[in-house]
Amino acid sequence: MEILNLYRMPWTMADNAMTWLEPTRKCNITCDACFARNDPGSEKSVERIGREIDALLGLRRCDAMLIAGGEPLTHPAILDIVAMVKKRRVKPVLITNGVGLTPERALELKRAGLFGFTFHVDSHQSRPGWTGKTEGELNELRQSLADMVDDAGRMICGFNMTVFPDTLAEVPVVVAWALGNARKVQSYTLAALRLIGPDFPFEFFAGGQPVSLETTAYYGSGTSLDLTAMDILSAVRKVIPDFEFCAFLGGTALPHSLKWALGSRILSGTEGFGQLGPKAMELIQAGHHFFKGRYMAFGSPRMNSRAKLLFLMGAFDPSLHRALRTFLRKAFRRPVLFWRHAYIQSICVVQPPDFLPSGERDNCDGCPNKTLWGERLVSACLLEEYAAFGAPITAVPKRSGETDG
Amino acid sequence: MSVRREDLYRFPWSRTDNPGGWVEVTDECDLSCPGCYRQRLEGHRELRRIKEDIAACQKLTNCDRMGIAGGEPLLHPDIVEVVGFIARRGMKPMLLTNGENLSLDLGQALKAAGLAKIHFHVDSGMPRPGWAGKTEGEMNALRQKYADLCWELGGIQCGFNITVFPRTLPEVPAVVEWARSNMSRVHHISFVAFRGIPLDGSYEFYAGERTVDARLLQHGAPDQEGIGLTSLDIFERVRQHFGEFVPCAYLAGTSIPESYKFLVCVQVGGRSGFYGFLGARAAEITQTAHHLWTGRYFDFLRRPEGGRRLFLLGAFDRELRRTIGGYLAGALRRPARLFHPVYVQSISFQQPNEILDGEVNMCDGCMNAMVFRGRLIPSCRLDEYRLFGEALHPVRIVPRPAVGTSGPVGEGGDRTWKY
Repeated sequence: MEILNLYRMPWTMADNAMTWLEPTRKCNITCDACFARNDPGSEKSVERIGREIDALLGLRRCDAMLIAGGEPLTHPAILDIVAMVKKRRVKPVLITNGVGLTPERALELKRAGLFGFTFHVDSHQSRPGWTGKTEGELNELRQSLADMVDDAGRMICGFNMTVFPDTLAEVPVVVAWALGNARKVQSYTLAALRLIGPDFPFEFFAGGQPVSLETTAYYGSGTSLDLTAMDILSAVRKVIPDFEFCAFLGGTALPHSLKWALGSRILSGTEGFGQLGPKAMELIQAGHHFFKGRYMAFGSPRMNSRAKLLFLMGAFDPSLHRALRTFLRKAFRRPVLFWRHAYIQSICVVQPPDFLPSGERDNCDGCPNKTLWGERLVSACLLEEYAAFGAPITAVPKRSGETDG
Repeated sequence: MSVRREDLYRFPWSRTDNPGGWVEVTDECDLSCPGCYRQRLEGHRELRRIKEDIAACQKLTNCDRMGIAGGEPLLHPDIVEVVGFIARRGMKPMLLTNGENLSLDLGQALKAAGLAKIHFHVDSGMPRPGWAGKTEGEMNALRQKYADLCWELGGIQCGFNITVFPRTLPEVPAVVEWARSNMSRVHHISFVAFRGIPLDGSYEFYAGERTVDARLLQHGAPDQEGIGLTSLDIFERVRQHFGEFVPCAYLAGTSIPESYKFLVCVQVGGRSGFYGFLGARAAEITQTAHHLWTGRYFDFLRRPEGGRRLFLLGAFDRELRRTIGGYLAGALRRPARLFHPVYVQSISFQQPNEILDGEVNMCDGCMNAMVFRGRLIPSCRLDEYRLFGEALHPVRIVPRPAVGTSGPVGEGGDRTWKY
C-alpha cells in the first residue's frame, strides 16, 4: 500500500472534525496503558465545563466533541454536559468504558442530545466480571452494549480497542464480530499500544530539567512501542482480505508514517460489497465542509443506513465503482439485496506517538483529539505531560552528556 | 480582534498534502539581509543532489509549486536546469531571489525552461547597493523595474516578499497602494513579520540534552523588542489606511491555533481600477475543486488574468458578489472595462515562528517544507539541522511577564503570549 496515495484528511489544528473534552479524570476501572491518570478529585463544575466548551470551540471548528476522561459517565452532571455541547450545535459523543451505562441511562443521554457512544472495551481492563477474558469472549460484552444503544435508538455506536502484542492475534475475531453487526456498530477503532518502561533508552527533560515519567500514566513495567498500524492492518486483512484504507493522517516528524488511518466498507447483513476510496472520502469531507462549514466526524445512524447512495460517487471513485459492480452482481443473484438497507462501517487504526532515534517525537499531524490545557490546545494523549511538568517532555538518547558551543 | 476566524477559510494544507515544496540550491548570497535565516556553510549544491531532493519533496508533499531558494539561487550555475527539471515533473517552478542577477537574457532562458513565477525579496532593510537608506515607498521604483521585467518576459508571474520591521510598519500601505496600481503586472505581495532567535538571555536552547549556542545561527535577535510584530499588526495597518481590507483564508500556528501565521487577502481589479476582494467561500471552492480535479492544492494559478471566470463563484460567495457589483458599477461609467482583463492579486501577511517555553509555534500547514537528508523539515529551521543535527528546543529560564492574561480556563497553562 502506498500511503501517500491515500487521501490525507484535511483536518488541522484550527479546523478539524473533532475535539476532546474531559469533564473529569476520575475513572471506575483501570486500563493498562491508559494515558490519563486516574484522579478522583478532578471532577470539574458544570460552569467550568461550559467555559471549556466555549474555549475549545473558539480555538477550533469541529463537527463532534468527544466527551472523555477519565470516565465521563461518573460525572453527576453528564446529562447537562451533553446538553451543553448539543446546544452549541456540535455532536456530543461519549468515550466511555460503558461500566455505568444502563438502558435507562442510555435513553436519558439520548434525550439530552447525545449523538452516540464509543466504547472502550478490551481484555487489558480491570472490568468487574470480565477480567481474564479473551477478546473473543469480550464480544459478548460488546454485543450487550451495542444492543443497548440500538434499543435506545438513533444514536451511533463505536468501539475502541487498544491492541497489545498479546492481543494482536485476536483482532480478527473482533473485526469479524463487528462485521456481523454492521447495522448496530458504525465504527471500530484499533489503537496500537504505546507504553514506556524503565528499559526505554531515553532520558526525559521538561523545561530544561530532567524529569521522571514514572509518575505518569503511560509508564509501565516494560516498553512497548513496536506495534504499528501496518501490523494491525495485516490482522484485519485476515478477516477482510481486500481491506484498504482510504484516508490517513501522517506524523508531525515523519509525514508518511501512518498515524491514523481509516477504511470504510459498505455492508448489508454480513454481505460486504466493497469500500470507499480516497476520492469518495475527499468528496464527503469537502462537501460536508462546504455545506456545513465543518469536516465530518460521524454520520448519523440514518445516513449510515443509506450507504447505497454512496454508489453514486462511483463515477469519481474507482473503489466505489468496483463496490457498485459487486453489489449489482450479488443483487442479481439475490434480489432481496435491492430492497435491504446497506450500511457503512468504518475501521480506524491509530498509531499513537512514536519516538525517533534522536528522541524527536512523531505525533499525529492534524490530531483530532486536541483538548484544553489552560487556554491552549494540546493533544489529549500528551495532556499528562503538560499537567505534570507545564511543558511537553523532550526525550534524549541515554548517553554521556557533553556541552556544545 | 478585528479578524473574525469564523469568516475565514482555513486552507486544508498539511505536511503530506500541500501546494508548496521548497528546495535550496545554494547558501551563497550576494547580499546580507537582517532576519535571513541562512548562512554560508556549504556553497553551491551538486545538481544531482538538488534533483534528488526535489523528487523526494514532491513525493512527500504532493506539491503543485516548488520554491527554488537559497542563498541566492540565481548564483547557481545550473539554475536553468533546476527550473527545467521541476517543470518536467509537472510542478510550477518558482524562484525566490533578490533580483540582483536577473537579466533579460537569463529571464528568457528561465522562461524557456518553464519558470512560472518569480518572487523578489525587496525591502528597505536590505543592504542593496545603490538603495541604502531608502524608504519602502522609494523601494517601489525597484519593484516596478522587476515587475516590468517580468511583464516584458511574459508568461512569468511576479511577486514580492517584504520583511516588515517595527520601523517600516507605517510604510506598508505605500507598498499595497503601488501593488494596486500594478494589478496586471504584480500577482502577489507577502509581508513577513521580522523574526529572530531571542538572544537576550531569557532562553536556553537545547539540541537533545546539550545546551547549544544559538548565536551560531545567523538570525539571532539581541532583544525581543523587534520580533514581536504579528501578521495582524501588519494587516491592521493596511486596513486602517484603506478603510476596508478583507481576508479570505489563513493558516494557524502549531501550538497557538488562534495565531495567524499566514493570512491571505485576494484583490480583484483591472488595469484601470480595483473592484474588491474574494471571500472565504470562493477560496474554499477553488482549493477544493483544484484538488478534486488535479489531486493537488494550489499556491497560485497559471493564469492570473482569468479573474472574470471567478465571478461565477459569486453565486456562493457574498464578498465576491460585492466585488462583481463594483466591477459592474465601474463598467457602467466606462463600458470599455467590460473588455479589459480582470486580474487577481493576493496579499499575504505572514508571521514566522515564535519561541515558547518548550516548543516553537510554527505554521500549521507550512508551505515551505523541504527535504534535508531524506526528512521533511521547515525550511526556516534548516540551519538548526545543519549546525546542531536537529531542531532546537527552547527552554525559558527567565519568567515571562504576563501579557493580556485573562485567567486560565482549563487546568493550567496560563496564557502569556499576545496572540
